[in-house]
Amino acid sequence: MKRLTLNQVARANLAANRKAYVSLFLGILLAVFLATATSLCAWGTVRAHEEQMAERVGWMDMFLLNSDSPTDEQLRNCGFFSELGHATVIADVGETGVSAGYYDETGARLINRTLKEGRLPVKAGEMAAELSALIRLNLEKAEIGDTLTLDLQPAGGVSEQRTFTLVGILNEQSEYLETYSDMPGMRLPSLLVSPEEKSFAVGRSIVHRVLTYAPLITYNQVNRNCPLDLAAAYAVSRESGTITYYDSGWERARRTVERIMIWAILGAALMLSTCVGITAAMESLLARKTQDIGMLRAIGATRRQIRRIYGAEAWVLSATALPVGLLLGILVTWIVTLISPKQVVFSLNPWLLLLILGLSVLCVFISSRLPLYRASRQMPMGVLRDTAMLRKVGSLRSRIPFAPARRIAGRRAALHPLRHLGAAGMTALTLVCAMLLGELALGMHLSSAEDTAAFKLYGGFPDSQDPFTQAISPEGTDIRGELRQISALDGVSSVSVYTSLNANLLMEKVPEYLRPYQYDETIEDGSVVVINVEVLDQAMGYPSDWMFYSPEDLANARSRRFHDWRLGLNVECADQAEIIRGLLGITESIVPVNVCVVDLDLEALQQFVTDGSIDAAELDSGRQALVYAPTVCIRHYEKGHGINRYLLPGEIRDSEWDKIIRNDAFTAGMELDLLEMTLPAGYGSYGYDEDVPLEADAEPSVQTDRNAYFQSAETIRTKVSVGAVLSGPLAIRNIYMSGFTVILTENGAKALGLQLPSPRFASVYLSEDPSPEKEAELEEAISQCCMRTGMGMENQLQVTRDYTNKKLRQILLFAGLILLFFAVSVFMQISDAARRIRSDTRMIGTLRAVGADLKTLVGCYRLPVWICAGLGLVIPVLFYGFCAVSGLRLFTVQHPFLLIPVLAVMAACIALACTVGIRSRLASVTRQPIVENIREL
Amino acid sequence: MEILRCDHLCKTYRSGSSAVHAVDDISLSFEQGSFTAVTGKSGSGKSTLLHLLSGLDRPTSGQVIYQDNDLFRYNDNQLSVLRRRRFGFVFQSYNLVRELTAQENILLPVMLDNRKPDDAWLKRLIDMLGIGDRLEHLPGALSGGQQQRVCIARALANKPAILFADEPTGNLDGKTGREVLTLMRTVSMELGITMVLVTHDLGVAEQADRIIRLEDGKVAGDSGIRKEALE
Repeated sequence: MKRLTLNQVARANLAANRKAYVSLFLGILLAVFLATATSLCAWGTVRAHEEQMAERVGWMDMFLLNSDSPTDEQLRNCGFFSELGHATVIADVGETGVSAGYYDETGARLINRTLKEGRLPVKAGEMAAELSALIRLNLEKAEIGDTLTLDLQPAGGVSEQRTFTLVGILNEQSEYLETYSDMPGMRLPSLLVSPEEKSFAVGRSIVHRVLTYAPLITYNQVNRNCPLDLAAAYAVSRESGTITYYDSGWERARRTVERIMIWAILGAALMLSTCVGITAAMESLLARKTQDIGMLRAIGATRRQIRRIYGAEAWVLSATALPVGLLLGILVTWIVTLISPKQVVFSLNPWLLLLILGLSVLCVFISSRLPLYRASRQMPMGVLRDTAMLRKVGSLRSRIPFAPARRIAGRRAALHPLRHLGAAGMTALTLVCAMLLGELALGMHLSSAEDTAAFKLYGGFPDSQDPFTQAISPEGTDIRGELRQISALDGVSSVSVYTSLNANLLMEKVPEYLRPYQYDETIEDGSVVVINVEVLDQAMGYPSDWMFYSPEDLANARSRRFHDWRLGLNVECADQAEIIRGLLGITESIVPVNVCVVDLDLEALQQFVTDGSIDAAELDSGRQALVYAPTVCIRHYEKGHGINRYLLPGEIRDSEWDKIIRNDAFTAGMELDLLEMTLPAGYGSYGYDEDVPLEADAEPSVQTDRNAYFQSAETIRTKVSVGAVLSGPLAIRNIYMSGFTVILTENGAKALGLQLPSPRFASVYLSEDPSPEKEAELEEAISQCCMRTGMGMENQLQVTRDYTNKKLRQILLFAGLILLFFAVSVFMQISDAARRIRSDTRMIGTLRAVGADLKTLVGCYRLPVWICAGLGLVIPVLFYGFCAVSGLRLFTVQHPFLLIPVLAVMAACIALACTVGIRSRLASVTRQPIVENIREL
Repeated sequence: MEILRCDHLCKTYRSGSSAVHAVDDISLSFEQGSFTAVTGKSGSGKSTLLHLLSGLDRPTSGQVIYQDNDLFRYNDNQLSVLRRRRFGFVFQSYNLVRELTAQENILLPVMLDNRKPDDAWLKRLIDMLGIGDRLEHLPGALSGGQQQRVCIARALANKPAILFADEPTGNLDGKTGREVLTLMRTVSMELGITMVLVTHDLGVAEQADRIIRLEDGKVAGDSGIRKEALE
């Protein structure tokens, strides 16, 4: 006689209950599918960003400019680097800051030079170039195939003229890898020549090294622990796509985590929900088998054998569902990448796939184990009487009268929560996911730019290095004249100009309000940094601490020879101020301030007024100025990401902030004493190197230089009274305020006699949306003006169009995902209900026999649906609350009043769809005679 | 007065080419307040007849007339209302709702009808059936006999017009069986409930006013309403 094996029992079991297993199969399939799709999408988004950034800065982590030490050998052996390539600069092109050179094989791979057009040079006399390099060489009209003649200057050699054929245009990299070094050859080549290019008679090539970190090594570790001298090294951040001096590794990890976070939360929620789904399916499957299990136990099967028999089902199903789910996930990811190619890249990582498989198997294992364990723990005879249920009976409350449907549904949920509420929990989780997606889509949608400018122009910057003075724009350019021409163009309604100038406030005493706030913060890597919050928005990089130093402090600092750059700047500022006071014979303190000259949108400004009132006529006549004196609210790092906010007084809750800097010095009606010092452009920057201690004997000559420097300035001193004090997060149209600022209109500034430098920005507004031809015509006309004056131009219409398109695609993607979730929820609920209805036909028959109608029967199954809808609503609301209370800024969480009603509608739709599905299921059961329902199986 | 009638009732089960006539052209009439026992050997079609008469099953042909209305012309909702108000059914295998306590099971038809339970009546029923101490238990914790008595209480809770019972004493020992039967009989007489009872126990059948014997789906003997019952 053949032996009956456990596997045979399991197989027979499978064959006999095909229908019930389909839902379990689908549960497992869903788990694998969701795991695959979410992890591949997460991986894809990270890859997409990396690839975008690699176009700018390649795959390298660091590059070392021209240095002999450490040697290649040392770099390879120190254990901090994994790959080493070389970039060779053969020569610079004159004084243009453009270098020509080539890479070795590893170097080329790490630098990731991609071609926009044409091909790479392969033999001597050929060249590929970045467009920006060609523009710097005044060769922007050059096309592929043209012959270029360049003056090449090798390091330590003599200039030599060579002729090249342009064979390709390279992607832009030098812009992002700019080293700002004036030394010849000290940058990566932006003109690519062939390694076969013949060497120069005099002079030498300069070799730079390109490096990647060894796995798990970060910039910080290299910086702290690498024994080699890496002073000439530049770290590259593939996160921001620029050169950095920060820990790019840490930063990258943080951003990557942020980027993956959303997918991870989605994936985890979905996985969890499918786990619950599988558990519920397994539980109800085993519930049908209690008799069999009791029988098997009665004839002597051990618990282990029971687990094996019924666990085998889960594994057989997994084995078939795994590959299908995996393929489905890959397919969906592929579709996602087609919809949104910039955000997600289709990339199959074998390790990731392996991880997904492992996770799925774990998910199936855990979720099938619990019901199996419980089933196998039942006592042989107990199974037949369902002891688990009887044990709970003590806690039942029986109140009379009762609504039968509700009582039955509630009792079932209480007695078998997993079996009856599993799908509900799962649906609730999918609703939460839909909420997160909605939040995300909404956040993206509502954060669109508010400026309606059609074209944005970027003018010259006042390039003064000193806080007290400003240099005016290069002579011979009439930017304001050109802007007037632009505003006269047909179709242009207005041109709004933003000019900022450095001026000085003369004050008897520098108010405490303008004092910078300093505190220590421990950042992620454990190091302590001093954070400096300045209320004063003025010349870049200049500290305002100097105004508060006593003469003794400064003397002490000077004698210590400023090894601290900030201290050096402080002393320098104090010295300059002293000289200016001497030259002009003033006794007041000099406070450098930013004066913003701009077309004011008075109506929009009203909301920021905290004192006084805005009077257009007074402003234009130069009698009044506006002062933006924000209240700065500061939260330290450890209490929530180191936030600085500019808030209006009514919005401030003191307890939230570690420090609040309030304006106690500027009020409406007070008089401002303004001093403007203007230097002609082209004046060499005032030479002062804070790294080199001043030698005592060098001071007199520096002193002379300073005197001469400030004496050459054209000085304007004028008085204006404060019309209104503004505060809050002032950002309207083309104005964005970032600290204490004096605001004037152009007419007002002229009336005051101030000398205006060239505008910083200008925004061109159109009277109506232009036709494509009109837009092209305007763009051409405006770009002509820009070319003449050296301004940059951005077609904001095009930017907006691109942005809108991108957003539309994203919203489509999200809408698709939400719809998918919706379908999945409804499907889960209905199939779960169908499964329960199948195993409940006898109870249904009984209820029918004692007179229950269809409505009552539907009521018995509707509870999980309502619970799911309720949970799906409550969880997001709680989540919102949690985010609001804890200050967690995972999501924008700005639109609960918009999103919660939408969720309510969605939950109601799910409930309705599920009810309809359940009803039709039950209707098909009730079409049979009752006898068929209650017939013993 | 006639309360229930069936005309040319047929129920045929088909499997492949062979057909089983479980109920074969039966026409019967039941007087209001009468107690009819249907007997016969296993497979003679007793239970099928009972299911057809009570509307739990649909006939292949023929009709069941309850108070001049054809049962199978009613829609599902009307039938449901009829079942919970006018019919009571005692199942051989009890069919109690596992999740509801004994008391809740008993009250089920009343609650389905959204009516206030008649407490005095229910108390009397429960006392008579001797299940007063088991009311808070789930059916799983009750013995077969107790479950059967809960089932009977449920069938009578709504004071139905007709009580259908399928081997109501099948799972009870002889003494209890007789007690339960007597009880059903007493209650029925008191309320004028018509009783149709299926049994293969002749001792039980003896207590009925009328005994109908089935053989192969046909009526093989009908005692008619016996004289002593009429008296």
